[in-house]
Amino acid sequence: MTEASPENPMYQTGDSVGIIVAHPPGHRRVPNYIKGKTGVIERYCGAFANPEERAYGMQGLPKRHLYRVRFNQTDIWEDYDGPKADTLDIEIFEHWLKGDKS
Amino acid sequence: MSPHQDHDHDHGHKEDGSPLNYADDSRHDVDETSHYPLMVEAIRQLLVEKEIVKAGDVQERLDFMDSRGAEIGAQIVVKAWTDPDYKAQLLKDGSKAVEEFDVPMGEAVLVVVENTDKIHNLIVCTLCSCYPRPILGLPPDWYKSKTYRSRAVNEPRAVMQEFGTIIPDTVTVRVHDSNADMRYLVLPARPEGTEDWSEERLCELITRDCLVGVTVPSAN
Amino acid sequence: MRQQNDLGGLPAGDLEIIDEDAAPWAKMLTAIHGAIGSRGHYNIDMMRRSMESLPPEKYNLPYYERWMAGILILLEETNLLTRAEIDERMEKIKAGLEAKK
Repeated sequence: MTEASPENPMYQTGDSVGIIVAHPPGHRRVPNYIKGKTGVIERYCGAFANPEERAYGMQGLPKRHLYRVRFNQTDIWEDYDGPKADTLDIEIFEHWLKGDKS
Repeated sequence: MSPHQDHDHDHGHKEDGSPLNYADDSRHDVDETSHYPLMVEAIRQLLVEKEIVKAGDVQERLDFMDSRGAEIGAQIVVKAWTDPDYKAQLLKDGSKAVEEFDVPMGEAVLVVVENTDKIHNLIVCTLCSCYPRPILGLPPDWYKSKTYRSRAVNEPRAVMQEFGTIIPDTVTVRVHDSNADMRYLVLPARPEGTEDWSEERLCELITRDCLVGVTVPSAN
Repeated sequence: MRQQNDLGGLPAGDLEIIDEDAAPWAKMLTAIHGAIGSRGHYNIDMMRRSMESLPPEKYNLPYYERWMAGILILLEETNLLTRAEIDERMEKIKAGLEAKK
């Protein structure tokens, strides 16, 4: 695994990424509805202390890379009742992403 | 029942005994005004006595809360509408651009998303109720409700319709689930026919609801 | 496996478009909470986690009542105030108010 550092975000705008399917205990900020879905990096948001650890009083360091990921609504919801062009943006930390080369 | 029920009132039951489903921030049906104000005052007194917080700091925060609202949001929007350079700055670095309006974003990052004739933005926080408080103040009850948090992501158009807002199919609806350190503000599209309007008049068009994205400003 | 705060996409009824001014106690609680946080005793992530950890009957309380439950956990956890101290002070304030009647 590439060590995340402020200089080394793993992904760039336009990269296709999948959200990992995982259910670790504790404080997580990845909603169930997005797990396992594939989207595109809309932008790199910066490096932030990990809230999953800060939630328990730890420092959450080293900082982790955060991205805004854009999804087609029709890729998220089987029965999405709206135009195919509708999208959803959400912020996801790098350790919840896997590159999608498809 | 947990062992701490001694100080908990019997919340959340209708007259017929069936449970109310709170977390919708609806009006309180049970008179609990004595319990919570008492508890808050006890906490306040103790924290101040122990010098954990300063009374002045708490008051400042109360005053600050009261000073926030749609007016500040409207001023930001009107400046963006009338000053293209400012609009560019606002879209590029929202936190920095709003400093001049006395908006301290602190650790949160403000992202301003622009409505156009092709895109309409809607803001929600499904996991809790993140909201651009340094600009808009306290979020409204409906924003914090389970219903909004559940449906804004998978039924945004239906949700907006409940506010009387219909977005044509030719316009893409873009939902933002603000689940991390970003806070979002919608920059509504300037209504047609307002080219000659004064800034004051333009400000009146902009409501809190259109800064969240559930409505659009109308010049009618 | 879904956490109780993870609501996105769950079935839900019609919106109740309620927008009432928060009660004075709720605003005061918000101000106190902010003041404690600004001193570094706890942070937003701890607050979110605290509320997520509430038993369902407390998570389903109205918004500020839920906040109170979350804050009480953090006050104990960070050794700022105990529930016993708070209860004792509440009794004292109440007695004082009743004495005035």
